[in-house]
Amino acid sequence: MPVDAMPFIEPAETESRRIVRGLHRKDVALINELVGRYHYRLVRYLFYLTARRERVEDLVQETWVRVLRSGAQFDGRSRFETWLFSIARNLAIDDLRKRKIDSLDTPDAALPEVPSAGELRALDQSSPFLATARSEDAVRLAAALGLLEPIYREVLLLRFQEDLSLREISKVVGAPVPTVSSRIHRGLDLLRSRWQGGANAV
Amino acid sequence: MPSDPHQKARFLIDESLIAGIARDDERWLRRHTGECRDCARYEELTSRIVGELNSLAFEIDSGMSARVQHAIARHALRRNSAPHWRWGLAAAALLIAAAPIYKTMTDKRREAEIERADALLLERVDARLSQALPTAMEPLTAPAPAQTAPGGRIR
Repeated sequence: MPVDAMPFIEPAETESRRIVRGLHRKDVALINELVGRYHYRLVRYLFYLTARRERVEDLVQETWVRVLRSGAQFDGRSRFETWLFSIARNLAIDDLRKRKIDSLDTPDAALPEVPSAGELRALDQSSPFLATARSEDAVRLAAALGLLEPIYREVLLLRFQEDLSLREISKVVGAPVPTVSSRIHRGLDLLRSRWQGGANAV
Repeated sequence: MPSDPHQKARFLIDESLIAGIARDDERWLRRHTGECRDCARYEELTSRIVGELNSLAFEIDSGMSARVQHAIARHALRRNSAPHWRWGLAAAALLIAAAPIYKTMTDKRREAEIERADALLLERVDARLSQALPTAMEPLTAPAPAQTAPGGRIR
């Protein structure tokens, strides 16, 4: 390996170790730094997952408090955002369950720990996405996203918006990699047909 | 992998964006989309959607980050003040656990004292008996003097 290639590996390792050490010490200064760094992505993820702007701030706060409280559980073997998103997702699902929104779908029998499509759909209110759209394409995409089943929307956003690998998405959503892959394929199919449907409607 | 070339091309187009594809598949796909206008359009549409997904703008409340940081600081402060009452709770638990142990120890000591007193008493009773008994027995053990009946006849 060329000597000048080393610094590209070393800082990332050091950064990961620094986060692990800081979280183990419950270092508030480090957590505030992480809030600054991941705030936008966390808010965006929770917004697109829950489609409820009014619940997002509480969930974001709870997520960071959980990071502070359970920081010792982060071992640095995965990227910090993978761990962060999985905490946020679990809190969003717990929040949904606490609110006792009735599921319309049967739960996924193979993955009982994963919320059912109905539970995730119950989070969905489709319209908030349109408010964020800036261009004609963005409006069309936001409309198509709003109509999409949340289990597909979630994996599409984690893959193409958050740039997580299939393995990382699998950790966040608690589903096997092949399931994640097939959900993304299916999600893209649905998005394409709705995008084209929207275009034809216009 | 689908056997129909168009289905295969569309699968590879998606897969290249989802997980990446092998170099051979990539070459095959380039050749196919170079010849098939429908699949080329499919690829263009998919790239456009994914590009749009990637760049979806999102506006957030600028004060939210500060509020979140404030909430974390408040939580950390509560955590730091928690040890005082936790120590109190631990001490109370220790006292509750120690009470039966202390009672057993006190009972044992009292039993030992009673045993010691009993032994002393028995010892003293024994000593008295050993002194008093020979004196009391003396008239019985001493040889009896010969008794003379009136009239000088020995009975």
